[in-house]
Amino acid sequence: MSIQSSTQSTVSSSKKGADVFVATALYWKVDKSCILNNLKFEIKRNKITGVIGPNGAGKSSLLRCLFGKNKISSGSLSFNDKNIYDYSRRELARNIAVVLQEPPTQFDMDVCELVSLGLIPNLKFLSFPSARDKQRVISAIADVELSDKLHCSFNTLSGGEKQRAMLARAIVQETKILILDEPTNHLDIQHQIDILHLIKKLNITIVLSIHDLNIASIFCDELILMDEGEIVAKGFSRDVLTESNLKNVFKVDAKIEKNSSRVKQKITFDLSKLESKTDSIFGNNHE
Amino acid sequence: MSRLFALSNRFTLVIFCSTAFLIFSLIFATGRGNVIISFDQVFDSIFVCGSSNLDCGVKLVYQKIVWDIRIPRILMAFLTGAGLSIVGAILQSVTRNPLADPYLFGISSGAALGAVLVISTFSGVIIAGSALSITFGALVGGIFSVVLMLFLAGNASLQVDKLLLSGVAVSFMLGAFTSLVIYYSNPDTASSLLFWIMGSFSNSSWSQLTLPSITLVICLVTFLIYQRWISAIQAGDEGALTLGVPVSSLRLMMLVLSSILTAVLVSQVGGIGFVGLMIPHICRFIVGNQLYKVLLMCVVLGGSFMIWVDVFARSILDEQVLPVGIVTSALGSLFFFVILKTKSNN
Repeated sequence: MSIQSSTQSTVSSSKKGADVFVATALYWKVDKSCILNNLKFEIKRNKITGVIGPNGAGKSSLLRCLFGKNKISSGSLSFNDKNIYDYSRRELARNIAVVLQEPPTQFDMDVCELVSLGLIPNLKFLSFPSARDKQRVISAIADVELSDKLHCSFNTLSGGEKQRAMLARAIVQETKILILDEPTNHLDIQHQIDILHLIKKLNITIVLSIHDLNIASIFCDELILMDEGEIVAKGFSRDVLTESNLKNVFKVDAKIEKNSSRVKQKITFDLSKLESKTDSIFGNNHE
Repeated sequence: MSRLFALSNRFTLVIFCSTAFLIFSLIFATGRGNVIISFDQVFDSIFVCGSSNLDCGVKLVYQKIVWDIRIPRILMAFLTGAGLSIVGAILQSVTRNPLADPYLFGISSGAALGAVLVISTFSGVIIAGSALSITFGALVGGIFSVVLMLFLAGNASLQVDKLLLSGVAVSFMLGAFTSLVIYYSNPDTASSLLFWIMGSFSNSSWSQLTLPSITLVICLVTFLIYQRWISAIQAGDEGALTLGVPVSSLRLMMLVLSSILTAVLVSQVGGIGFVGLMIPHICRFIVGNQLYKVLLMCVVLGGSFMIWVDVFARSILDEQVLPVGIVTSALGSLFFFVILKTKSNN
């Protein structure tokens, strides 16, 4: 599967720096509360970067800064060596595809219509989709294995199918950067593996927020660990996912088993607190 | 791919049949009224005699009735039905609210207040004379309501829910003023005002068709140009933003255009409710959710629907014309009962 158009003139194609995004002293405030606090990070080209952290850590807010939705309060955020806010919304849409968790719309669309929306950034004003565009839509739907659901309504799809449909829309955008906000949320393990496998096959710059630390460790090239709007650690998973970091951020004891051959690690959490609580509940009931 | 073509062929067939039905409706409705004119005489008046009153085998009085009374009235009904329906479809899409309709933002109340102020201030002079002043008053009132709504919403006008709340507030406020003006009017003026508010095509003339026609065409073309972006908003604001769609400004533009078209129509024919709410839902049921299909279907079906409503309003009582707004409201409530019943059964 290839989502990179040879004819498309994207900003990213003309710049070959190692870092796609560079943030320094980035603050994002809502009213007076500071949601993102003095962030400094780089997102590397053609790598998969995972943003991890507890609920409310600021993962989604950070992702929304990356595609220009959240306008930062101070600091700098550059995209391909240029201030991200110097790009028009259309230019950003031609370079960055985003898959968000969105509430179902009251007005249902079928899968083909929804995926066709991905053509918008590259369609000229007052022009119609060409035969090639239509073929791209069909092929993206085939890539995510939803060909049999081409004219099914989006709202009738399962959670995994909805995610795959949204991913197909992003594929049609033909960008070199893909941002995903918790793409594995609400999915069972098989569908989590399927969707991540699909994302990996794209072979482009990926930034995603993810909750499952074991999957993050295996799937991502680099990780950014966040807590309370700040970056606690960043880098390779072996440097980020340490027992002390996890204890500090998630307030749970964790045991890390390193796999020396793949430099990946397996995390086991201490669930004894849960067990003792369960025991006490059953204990009370029995009494 | 073959299935895609099959679906687009289906839409072509549906539009073709609906347009044929619309043409039939236009000709049939021209023959109905206090004076019943046969189908072939209507046909000859329109297509053989033309508007130049030639001796073509149709009585001159029938030609006069067809050209000077019936056709302007029917075209006005068509424009009103088509216009309110496309505005309903657009507002439902850009606000993602299936209950949005052209009157949601207080446009009807504003237009009614404008018309009522003109009628009551100049009393019988205006009613007997030019309808243009009433139209102008209603137009100013309708646009004033939109400006007031945007002003009240302030910065929040970029958020759908706050915009809706502001619109509802304006609607009630202007509605209260309208009632106050009617309350202090003399009985004759009050009855004229009430009849105007309930909607009618009785005073339609060729000269009155110009403004609604031009506004309808401009709005429809603009809606069709931006239909892809509007569809993206329909699927979600944030998603649309990531596709490069200027969500806030596009929504505002659609809102202003919808308001202008509604104000123009309401100023000509009075308040006709439920059409903008009901017809887009029926169109989506027939042709699916793709916006350009819904819009084109709204023009044909909304126009046909209003022509038949007018025929019904003219025919149901002897020597008397029922206000159109009463018929559309009655049908609208029936429509929602049917929807409710169907959904409950499912």
